[in-house]
Amino acid sequence: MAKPARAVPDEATNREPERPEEGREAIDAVIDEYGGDYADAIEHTEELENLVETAVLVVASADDDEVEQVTQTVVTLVKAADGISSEGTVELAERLGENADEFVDLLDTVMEMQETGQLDDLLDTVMEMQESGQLEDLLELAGTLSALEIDEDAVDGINSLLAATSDATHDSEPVGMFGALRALSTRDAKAGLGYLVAILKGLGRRLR
Amino acid sequence: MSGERKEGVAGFMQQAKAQAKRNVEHFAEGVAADSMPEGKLFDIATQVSNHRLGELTVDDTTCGYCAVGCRFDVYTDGDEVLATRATSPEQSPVNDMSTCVKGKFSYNFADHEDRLTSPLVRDENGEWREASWDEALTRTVEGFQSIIDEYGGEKMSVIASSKATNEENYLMGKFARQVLGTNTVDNCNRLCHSSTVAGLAKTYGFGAASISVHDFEEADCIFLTGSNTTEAHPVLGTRVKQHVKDGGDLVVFDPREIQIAEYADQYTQIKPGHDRAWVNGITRYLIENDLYDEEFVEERTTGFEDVKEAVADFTPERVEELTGASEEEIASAAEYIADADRCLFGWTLGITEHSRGTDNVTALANLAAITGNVGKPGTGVSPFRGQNNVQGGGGDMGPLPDNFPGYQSVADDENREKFEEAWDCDIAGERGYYTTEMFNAFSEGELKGMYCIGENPSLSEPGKKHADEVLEEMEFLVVQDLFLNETAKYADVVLPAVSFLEKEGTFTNTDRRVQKVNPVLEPKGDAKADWEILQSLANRMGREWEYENTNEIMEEMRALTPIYGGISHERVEEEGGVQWPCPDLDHPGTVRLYEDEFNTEDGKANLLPVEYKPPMSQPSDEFPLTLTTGRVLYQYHTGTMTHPEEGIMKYNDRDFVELNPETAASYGIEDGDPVRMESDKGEIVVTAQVTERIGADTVFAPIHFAETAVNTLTDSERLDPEAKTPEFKVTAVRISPVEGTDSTGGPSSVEPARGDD
Repeated sequence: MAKPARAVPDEATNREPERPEEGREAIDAVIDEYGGDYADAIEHTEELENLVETAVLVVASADDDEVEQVTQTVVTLVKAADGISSEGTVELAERLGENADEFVDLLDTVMEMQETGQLDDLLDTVMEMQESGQLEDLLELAGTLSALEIDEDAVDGINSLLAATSDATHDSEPVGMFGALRALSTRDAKAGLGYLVAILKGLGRRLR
Repeated sequence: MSGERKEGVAGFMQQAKAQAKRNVEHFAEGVAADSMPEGKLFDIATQVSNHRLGELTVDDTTCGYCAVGCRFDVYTDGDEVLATRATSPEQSPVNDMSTCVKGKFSYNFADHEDRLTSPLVRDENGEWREASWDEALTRTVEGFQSIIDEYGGEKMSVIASSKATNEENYLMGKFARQVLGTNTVDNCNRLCHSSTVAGLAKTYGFGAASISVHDFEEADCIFLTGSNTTEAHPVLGTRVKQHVKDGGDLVVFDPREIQIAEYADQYTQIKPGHDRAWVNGITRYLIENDLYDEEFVEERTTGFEDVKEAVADFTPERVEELTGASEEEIASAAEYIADADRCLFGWTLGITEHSRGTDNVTALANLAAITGNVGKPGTGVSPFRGQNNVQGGGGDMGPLPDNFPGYQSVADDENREKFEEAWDCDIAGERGYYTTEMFNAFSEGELKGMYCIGENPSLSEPGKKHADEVLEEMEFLVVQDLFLNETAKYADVVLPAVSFLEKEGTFTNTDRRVQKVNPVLEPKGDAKADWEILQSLANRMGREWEYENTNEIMEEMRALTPIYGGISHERVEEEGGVQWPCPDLDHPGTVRLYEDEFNTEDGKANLLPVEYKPPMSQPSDEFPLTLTTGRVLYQYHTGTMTHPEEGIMKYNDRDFVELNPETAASYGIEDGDPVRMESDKGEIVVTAQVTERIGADTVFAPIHFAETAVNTLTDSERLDPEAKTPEFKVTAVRISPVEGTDSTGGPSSVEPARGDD
């Protein structure tokens, strides 16, 4: 015999946790939820590649405040990950600068496009088509790019980014938290992390 | 399948990516409209859409709404259904490329935030608390076992789910008999077509449609009664409309001038509750005027003289007085049937949900047989079943108090021995309680516990107040469902189940066609398929069920069920559906029943005289109007699947009452006014819909909303004596205007849906 009861705890239903999903509030909420425990937060990031790619997309469509916030968050995450890895912080730091200039150039172009309002849609399309394996077709769209009055440097910059992302896409395999952390101890991964941090630092410099 | 929602930073990143992808879709309009060649724009659009489709899962399955048995491809991202599209014609024999508004769009329920993802148990304060499967199953087994130990297994009851697959329903019947030790297992068929099953079984042999859906195309005349076809079975409604467009005749008898009546050559408005009278009147006219099929009657039927004698009393005057159908209308309907070489008789719950439903069906079976309209192309009887799998799961699979799978009687010693041996248990020879009887038996202390799977008796049983009292008082109640429905709120344990979109198996549709159900979504959270839950419970209660998948269940079932003997998953997949009876793997299945003989001892149709008995509920001075209940196109039964659909709710978000303009005026009620409707069982307040489609002494209300549950007015004790179907279609009521309040469903800015949209 049971009296009627209607209230069901949220955790027993398909209800999403209530949290802002976009913009700076979303990032703050995530940080709040994980109480600054970035190592725990990073557990929920499936792939570093995903993180990089998404960070670029977020930056592309974010306003200045959000860009800064994203930058800080990602740098902190990377630092946290590095803190867990057993070796090589010094070596990692040494490699930071090696490829930084090239990326800063790319970011120049990106920021320029963002300012002229052309970046969002273009970059999204580019990413989409690259993912769908239509990169070659995309590159035929030089006419389009010129029609949009994007200069040659911009096209080169975008192609560099796409080529790197393409390689990553073809070569990558799914990796979980522990896999990711193990991977951090390899030279290539450290180089890649350096690359990322350099982008973000470069970006931060431009924003200040 | 992909698309799992991630937590934390990754979740944010995922969201950002999704936003970026959405931007792509606006690319064409936003960036390139005036700067890019149109051809290139098209290329990009194609690439983007192909890419997006490439990320989706596509599989064909069988619809989980009504029992027409439409099949289509379902596109999902793993979490939710994004679209349905026509599948190959070989895989969709019933609907070709058609689907209705529910089958096409109404899938938000599957990913709805109220879907249960974990079992629920009561905490020390009686409130719900999330539980592990282990804890919930332990509590369930303890509850069941304590009733079995204290009172005996026969005090347990099971309500099986006609929404679930055949395989699962086979296990629900097996679980009741083998694990719990009770024959009290039944399902929603008791509330709808059990009188069809009873009436057709005793006249023709099988309690099912004799036709194939393609007989609609081959008929010269379709005779429809008690079926709001375009709303309750929209895709069949399309076939009927096509039949008319192709020049076929259509005759409709119904208390409401429903949309399909607009297509009819003859529409006759009748008073609800007296159908056997006008059917007998037509039969009388045909016999008296020698318009029946003497050869067919002679060779293929018995009992004609008894029927002839019984219908003689149904003179035109008497029929008109009882039903409102005039002498001319009866004669005209009879002539339409007689003129047609091939006539098909279709009906739905307007014939069956009566205290004399079995009589109504028997009268129709007599009519079809004396006119030779059975067993030939374009002829036959076609009850349109309601729940997606009520034919297969609700009947064929034998979760029934009196039958094992394949309508093998429990009372028959040989049948019982066969199942006792196969299931290693003792089975009583006396039938258990039917669903409608169960609720009365609980009141009398004859039943103590219930395992209710995928049903919502709090809303669907006649007499809501009584049903709720029984549910609250019962010693132990376990509910297995997608949601915490109105019934589950009384439960001791709630077990989260998955929908038809998340599992594999078969459904059997309204023309006996067994079709494949394929999973297109991942199960939500920790929810499990009914068969998995049943297996876990059975094994915790000392049995050794070892099914790896539903195919293994099907194999066991068909070995024990002659009409399904040759129906395997493999065949159903390869052949796009197989119609029973199909005794062995070499048998092609049966497109049309009774082509050579009826399924009776002598192979002939047993014509049975039907006397007139009045409905149990009758209008009086106190309750002068007759309420009849039913469905509307946009909603489905108690609404668990359709209420989560915002678009559908915009069309129809509440119940209403249809009133004839004359009736409304006499009570000072205008369209849109709140109306109090009372019976001897209770009252509700609903919005008036004033319409000519309904007769002056009749009112109609739909069944879809808990807030205004129309079964507050119906009666749990007015049942068909044979089938125990409730008298949903006839309740004496009175109405009165309500000043200054809205319906009991609360205020709403949305106009109530016209039933004929």
